[in-house]
Amino acid sequence: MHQTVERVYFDHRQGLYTLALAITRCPGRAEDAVQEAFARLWSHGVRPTGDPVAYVFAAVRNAAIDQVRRQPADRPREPASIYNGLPPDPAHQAVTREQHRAVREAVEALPEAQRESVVMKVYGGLTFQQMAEALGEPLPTVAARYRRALDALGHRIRGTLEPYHA
Amino acid sequence: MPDAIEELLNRMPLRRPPLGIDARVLAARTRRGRTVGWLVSAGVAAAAVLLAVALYEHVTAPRLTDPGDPAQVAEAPTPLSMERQWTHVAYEGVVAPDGEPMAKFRRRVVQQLEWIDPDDGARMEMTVPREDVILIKATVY
Repeated sequence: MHQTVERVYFDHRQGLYTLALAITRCPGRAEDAVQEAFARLWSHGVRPTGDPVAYVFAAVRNAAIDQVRRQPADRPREPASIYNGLPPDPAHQAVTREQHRAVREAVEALPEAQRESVVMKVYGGLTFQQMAEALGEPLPTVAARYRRALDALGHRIRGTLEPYHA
Repeated sequence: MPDAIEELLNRMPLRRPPLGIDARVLAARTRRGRTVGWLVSAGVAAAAVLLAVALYEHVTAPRLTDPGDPAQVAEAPTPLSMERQWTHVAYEGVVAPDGEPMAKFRRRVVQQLEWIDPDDGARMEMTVPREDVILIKATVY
């Protein structure tokens, strides 16, 4: 079981961290959440039922939600983005500055559940079946939520998308 | 359109996990054996102490009847005693109070003792909550 969990970690490290960051909105808490999730998985000696990738994503998501609950309400902080800034050299930029700003704002404006679904699907590389297992929801619900998230993003970033694909 | 959006999302530069995250995650795995061993040892020690306390309480518990009267002693029913205990250990991440990384655990124990007099059903209950913070030296690779 340990080897399986460890393999999932190394295969999905970026996606797991991004999911934790999308929930906690704080890099330090996201790191704590990932570590805490694996500490729980290993200390409890739990054998994943079903898909191990979905199981580990669910563990990290739960740990991130716990981190948010523990955060003192009297210490508001600027929410951190899941995205990095653009590299200074335009030759190394995969998106334009305008697209970067538009996508970042659009993703951050999504309802929390939709943002999670985008992160799990696009950045975690999960299938709808794995997302359904991780979230404990029916597959059609999960798929519909993801489609709604893409529609919402499409409305917001259409202006920046069209010139690129023209 | 959805494909174009997915493509654009994929081209966005993601914030990278911090460099130390692998060490922290893997340290959680290697610490497990020692942590569990420590907790088992602590659990055994705590159980031994509780057993000693329970036995002591049982032996020294005041009788409900006057022990001076042999007839009453013979007839007096012994109070039933029950003990229940709930223990929960929560991992709270790594802290560095003196600059040295330590894994922090919070152990909550609720011990409940109950005595029932089988003669008249009188019931006495005592609940003792306890909370400990455990720090275990973390190994960072």
